Amino acid sequence: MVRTQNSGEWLQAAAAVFLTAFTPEKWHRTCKTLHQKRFLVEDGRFPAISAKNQTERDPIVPIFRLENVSKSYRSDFLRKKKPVLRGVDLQLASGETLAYLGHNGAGKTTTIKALLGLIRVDEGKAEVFSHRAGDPKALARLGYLPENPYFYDHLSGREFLQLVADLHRMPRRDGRRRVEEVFELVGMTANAHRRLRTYSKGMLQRMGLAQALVNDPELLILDEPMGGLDPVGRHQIRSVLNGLKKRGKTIFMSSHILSDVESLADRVAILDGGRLKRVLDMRELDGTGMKKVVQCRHLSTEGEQRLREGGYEVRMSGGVARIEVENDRDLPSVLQMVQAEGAAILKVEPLRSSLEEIFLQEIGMTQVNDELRQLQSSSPMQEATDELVEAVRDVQEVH
Amino acid sequence: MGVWAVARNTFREAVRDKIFSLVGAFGVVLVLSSIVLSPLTVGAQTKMVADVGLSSISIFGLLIILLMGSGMVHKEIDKRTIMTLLSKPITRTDYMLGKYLGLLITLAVIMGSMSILFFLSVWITPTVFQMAFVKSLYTAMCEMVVVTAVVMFFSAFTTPVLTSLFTLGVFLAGHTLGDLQTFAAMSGSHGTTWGIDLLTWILPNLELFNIRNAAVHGLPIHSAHLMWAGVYALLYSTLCLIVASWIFSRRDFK
Repeated sequence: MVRTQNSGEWLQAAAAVFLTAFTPEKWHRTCKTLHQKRFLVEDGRFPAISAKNQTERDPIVPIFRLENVSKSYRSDFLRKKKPVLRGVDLQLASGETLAYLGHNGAGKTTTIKALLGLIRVDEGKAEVFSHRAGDPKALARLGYLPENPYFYDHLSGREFLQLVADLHRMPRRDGRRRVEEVFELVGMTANAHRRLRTYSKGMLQRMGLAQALVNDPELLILDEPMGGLDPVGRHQIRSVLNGLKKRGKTIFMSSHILSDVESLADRVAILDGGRLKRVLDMRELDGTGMKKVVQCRHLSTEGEQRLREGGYEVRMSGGVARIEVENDRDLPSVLQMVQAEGAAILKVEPLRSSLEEIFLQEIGMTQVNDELRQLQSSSPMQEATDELVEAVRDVQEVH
Repeated sequence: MGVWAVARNTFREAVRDKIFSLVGAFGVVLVLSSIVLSPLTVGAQTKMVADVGLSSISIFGLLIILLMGSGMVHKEIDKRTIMTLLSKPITRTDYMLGKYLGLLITLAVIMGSMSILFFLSVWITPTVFQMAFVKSLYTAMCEMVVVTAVVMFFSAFTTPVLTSLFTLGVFLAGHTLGDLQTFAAMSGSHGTTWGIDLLTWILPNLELFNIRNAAVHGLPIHSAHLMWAGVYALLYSTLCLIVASWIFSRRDFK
């Protein structure tokens, strides 16, 4: 059979051979090696010594590190880029649970995607386990639960987790054993054989957590882990997360449910408009070293006056006096004064800000809320609103 | 192993999406065309059965690639299953390669089944079995290897509809490159000649895989040609997949 020779065929074949030798991963590896070599030449030290010194200088290596990370998205070809993350700096230490708070569109999911390498950051550096974000070596040591998880419809729960085990290159027998363990952990064993398309939202959420746990990860990245769950489901997930926390797992979770955050997190990072506003240690909320409030009954007017003269703020409400004590050292003398006045001490408690208050304050919502409250109180709708609130309370009580 | 996990999942999805019902449709087309067309082609019934059978296998193969391949990656992005998959320790190249191999395995099983039906029709009708039929099926499979890689390339950055259209365009242009070169030479325009030359450097030469006429009419098919067809299919698809992976690895999944 005779045919016309095509010069393109040879050119394409040569290009394929050339490019096979230089795949993007190979390029990356080569660049990394060159970069390391340059570093060593500049540093002028043997690699082992250099690494040792590095460890001595910085003994705590963070699980992940975000340095000045910025990201913008262009919604349309012609439109201007909209910044989603602006210079985010964040680190997570081993064994820590860090909650990531922010309202919708604050950039929480974008941060998580930057950590997983699902998006490329415009500026800054994202590293996980000292590897570039998205590096398979880093991904092998973490588990990720996406927001509103959606999985392969055509697979059963067990087949899906087996697929995840395969992606983690687990030997078949170990994979099967681990899959059953994880089903047990999230309480889904009875539904393991069912196709994922028949799962409810809560079940999918639990499957999401299950697939994140297949490789027994050191770091868990959870995007809204309680989203769409009923109270029972939330309790279940919370107890699983508490168990993982006790086992020393590092957890990074974004959440809207502040009560869950308060019960789980060691630190809270508050994000607003792509900027990290505050990183708060939850111990700051436990009341140590904070203003105290002494509540007592039957405080005489003279006693109230004397306390005011002593520089303490006293508020009376329904026969109960609330005395604010700025300093822990003053507390015994205040208690003594109150007792001397013949008042009955009801309780002494720290005047702490709730996480919600801090969160709203950080994202600049306190003022807006105050204005809303004022508007509500002056509105003719107030009565109707009060009635509605009462009705809701009644229904809740009945339930 | 990550590549194989993705490939196996792609194959399983195709099986459960009942893509194999196309094989049944092929069987019906083959039987009906043999019954209807054979009496019309006086003295050439045997060639007709072979020609229709081999052509149908190629067309059905292309149809499967367009149906399955064009939306394969997009569907994962749209349903966000890709987030879960790419958060596991696999590279994006592994993912693209896994998807490609999964589609190719599906295609191989379907084309294999269709080939069995074809040989059955050859056995039933008075058509004489020739080794050239097997050679033609082999080059048809080589062609599908290339077209599947082209689908993967387009699906790395565009929508399913555009992927289908572009792939169809490449398929048609790839089969007419020789004619286009002749046309350019006849036109005498340097610009046209240069443009067509550029196309031949970029687009796959799919006519290389078309040995149906030679097989049906009993013309000689050299083994060197078959070997080159195999090597070319492998290299061109590698080229496509490397570029596709490179583009795909730069994509953001919002």
